[in-house]
Amino acid sequence: MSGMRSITLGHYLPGNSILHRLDPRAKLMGLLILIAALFLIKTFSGFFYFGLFFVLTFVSSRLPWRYFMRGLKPVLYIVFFTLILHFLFTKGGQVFWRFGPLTIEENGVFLGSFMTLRLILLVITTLLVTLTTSPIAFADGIEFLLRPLRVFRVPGHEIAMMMTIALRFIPTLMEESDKIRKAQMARGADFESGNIFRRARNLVPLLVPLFVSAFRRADDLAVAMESRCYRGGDNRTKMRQQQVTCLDYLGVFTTCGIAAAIVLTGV
Amino acid sequence: MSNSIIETVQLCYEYTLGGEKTLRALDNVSLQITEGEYVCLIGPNGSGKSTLARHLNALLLPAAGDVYVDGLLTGEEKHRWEIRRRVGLVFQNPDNQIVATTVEEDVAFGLENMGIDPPVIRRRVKEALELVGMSTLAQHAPHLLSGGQKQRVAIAGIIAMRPRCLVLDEPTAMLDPRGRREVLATISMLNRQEKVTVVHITHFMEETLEADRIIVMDRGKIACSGTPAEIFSGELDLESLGMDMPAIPALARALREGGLPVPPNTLDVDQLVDYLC
Amino acid sequence: MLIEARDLSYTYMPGTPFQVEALKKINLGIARGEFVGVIGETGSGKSTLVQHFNGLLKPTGGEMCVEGKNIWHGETNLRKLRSRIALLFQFPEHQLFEETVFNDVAFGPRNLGMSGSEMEQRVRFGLTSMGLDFDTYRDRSPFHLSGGEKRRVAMAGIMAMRPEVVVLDEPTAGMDPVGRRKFMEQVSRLHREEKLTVILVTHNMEEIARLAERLFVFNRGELVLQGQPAEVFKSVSLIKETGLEIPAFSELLQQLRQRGKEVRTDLFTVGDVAGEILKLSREERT
Ligand SMILES: Nc1ncnc2c1ncn2[C@@H]1O[C@H](COP(=O)(O)OP(=O)(O)OP(=O)(O)O)[C@@H](O)[C@H]1O
Ligand SMILES: Nc1ncnc2c1ncn2[C@@H]1O[C@H](COP(=O)(O)OP(=O)(O)OP(=O)(O)O)[C@@H](O)[C@H]1O
Ligand SMILES: [Mg+2]
Ligand SMILES: [Mg+2]
Repeated sequence: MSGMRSITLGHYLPGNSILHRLDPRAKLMGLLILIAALFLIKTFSGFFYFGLFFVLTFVSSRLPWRYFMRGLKPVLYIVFFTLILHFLFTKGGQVFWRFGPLTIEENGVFLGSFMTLRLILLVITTLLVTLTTSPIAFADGIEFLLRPLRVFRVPGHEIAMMMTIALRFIPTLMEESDKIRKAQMARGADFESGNIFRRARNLVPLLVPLFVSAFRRADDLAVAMESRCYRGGDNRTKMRQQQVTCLDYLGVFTTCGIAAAIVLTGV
Repeated sequence: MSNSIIETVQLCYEYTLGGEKTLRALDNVSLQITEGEYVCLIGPNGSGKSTLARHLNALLLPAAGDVYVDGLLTGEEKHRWEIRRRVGLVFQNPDNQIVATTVEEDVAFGLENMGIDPPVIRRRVKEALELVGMSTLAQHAPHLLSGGQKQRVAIAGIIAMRPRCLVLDEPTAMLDPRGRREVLATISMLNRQEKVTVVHITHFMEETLEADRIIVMDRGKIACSGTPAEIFSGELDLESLGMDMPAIPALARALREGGLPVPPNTLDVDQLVDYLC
Repeated sequence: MLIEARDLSYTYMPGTPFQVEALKKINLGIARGEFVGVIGETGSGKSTLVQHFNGLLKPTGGEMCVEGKNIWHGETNLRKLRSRIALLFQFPEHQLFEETVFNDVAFGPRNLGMSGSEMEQRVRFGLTSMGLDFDTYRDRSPFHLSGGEKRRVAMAGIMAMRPEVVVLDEPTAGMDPVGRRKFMEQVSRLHREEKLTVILVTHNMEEIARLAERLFVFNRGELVLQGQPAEVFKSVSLIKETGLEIPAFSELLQQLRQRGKEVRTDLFTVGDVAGEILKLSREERT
């Protein structure tokens, strides 16, 4: 369990591929389009083409596939769970297998595989974007995309700021929880054995210091930000002005085109 | 008071401790800091050093008395942002003052808040990083830097705002000797070369030897102040103030007591070696 | 040897782009009753090393032995081991969590299965060993103490387990000079009177030179130097290369020696150094 200092889910890996260089806004827009397409696709062949497009993009990003698979691991449980649920509880069509009251039927297998594929494609596409976009660019992209919603009083800047700070502090807090865990273990605390209630109670020595520390940090950070003249999003400028290039337009349009083509083949 | 950049007049401050109880953290503190001066602030835990530091850029406002920065009164709302630009604060824990996820973005943070044009921000960020010797790490994630490097990033973030005065609250407390040397060298370079006024709070007596003036605080009051040679001449009872003598002045005092007339302004190894040889 | 590392290596996050080799084939031994210091710059692997001593980390290569037995082979009870070899991290006050000082200090003994008067005995011992009065502090909230008091309560929580060895990882950061000195005086008194084995990790060269009987110097995951403080601080260039400092008194005495003065260089306290110099000046006068 140790050594989780700098790995967080979907941790950005710097690089210089086309995907890395695309403007985050273009990438996020592309991602939204692809997600929409995923929900419109109705056939397995549609998924096949989508998968092909993903593989091409993935190869062009030059990410190490091992590292990519690692990021995927936690999600696999959810995927597996979905699959099982559908297999067991969606009824209809031919019965493939029977064991007492349990049956696996045609519709279940079909729907289960379909949903699982959709989920997997959704996750890997998103992961590909987060792995190739620096957190700060990501937050900027979100802030930009939320801008139209300002008429509905959606605080775009604040949301983006919160995201940045969360991303900044996740590694710090993980390190901290690791340290507190070890400090209490050095006093004989036991986090591994016992039934679920016991274990939950045993977490108190971990959670109390962690909350205290998170609040202390939040307080320190607020003071530090205030002393550096932070006063919300108004009148604020940005060092990095995002320059939209031809490449970005091209990226968004191709994605649009490909997504539309894939969806149409399946209709 | 024409050339004093910071002036506090009978400054008092009280924390409320829930209910009716209050705690007087600053008690009639009056002091003046001259433009370009290097001041060290020392005193035992809880003597009010951090509280005083937070008054210097309007993070806290006096309960009684006044604080002037460059002639501007910190109590006046309309001066607040200008005061924070002119007096920059660096804190003890570098982890809790870095906002952004890359070094460069973090240094830009203050400038962005001031609404400065992006090309100017980029130039100043670059300059500030060069000044603290961190240009090569501009794209790094802060949590992968060493403590000394993080602290220099924090200093760069303040320097980029071109403050007149830099207030550092125990900037070296969490660092190793190399990190401490790096940060101290950066501070004294900024003071000498860039003429930035420095207020440096520390528990390491060795770090105060280069200062123009040392101010000793005790229970919310200024206990005494003077040049390092005066403070560490051995005549003051620093012990009762929770302080220690730095190694060489302590030795010099012991030698004087043993009958060897070492001059009272002997502060470092070289001076003592020269005297003895 | 009480604690012994044989070819000990540790790598964080092996097999990822973020892999760090924090310790490389370390060999060292610490005897019962010793006071040893571990120094080295940030990231040199000090904290990683000391976490091996009580089984908080499992070596990725080599062996970690206590009393000659590899703690990861066979049936070592790690919880029991941790009560014998106690570890106090940097900023230990951050681990306090109970509502009263008593309960917090009792956390360790309770985890050892104690209760009632036996436990109270331990808490009393822990608090008094750190110079805190049992009756004054037992019912206070640990969150409303001063920084120095909190730290001593945290240390009391360790002492209440009556360990044979304490490992202190930068215990005095952020304390004022007098608080720092008092804290270390308590520790060295426990070392002298209770025969406590102490392993101190610190960035404060003056302090470690004065207190430790033996030093281990780390650089980038390797043990580059070990020996008595006087020996270690003679290797001026090596120490400076690893980013550390020579204590002011060593530097002074060594410079005097270089200028042809006959002085000892293995002294680290004001009294000793002053005595040596006064002796020298008396001899020169006659
Ligand atoms: N937020 C707060 N609420 C209540 N009391 C506080 C608060 N901050 C500080 N104090 C109290 O005010 C007094 C002065 O604290 P301050 O932090 O200014 O001391 P300091 O000289 O900076 O100490 P240190 O060397 O430990 O940093 C202390 O007694 C402290 O307990
Ligand atoms: N939990 C972790 N995950 C990944 N890498 C780590 C982790 N803890 C430490 N490291 C890395 O291992 C190396 C050794 O770290 P360690 O904390 O042992 O150093 P240290 O000598 O204690 O430093 P310091 O003086 O800063 O406390 C460093 O390069 C550090 O970045
Ligand atoms: Mg303070
Ligand atoms: Mg460490």
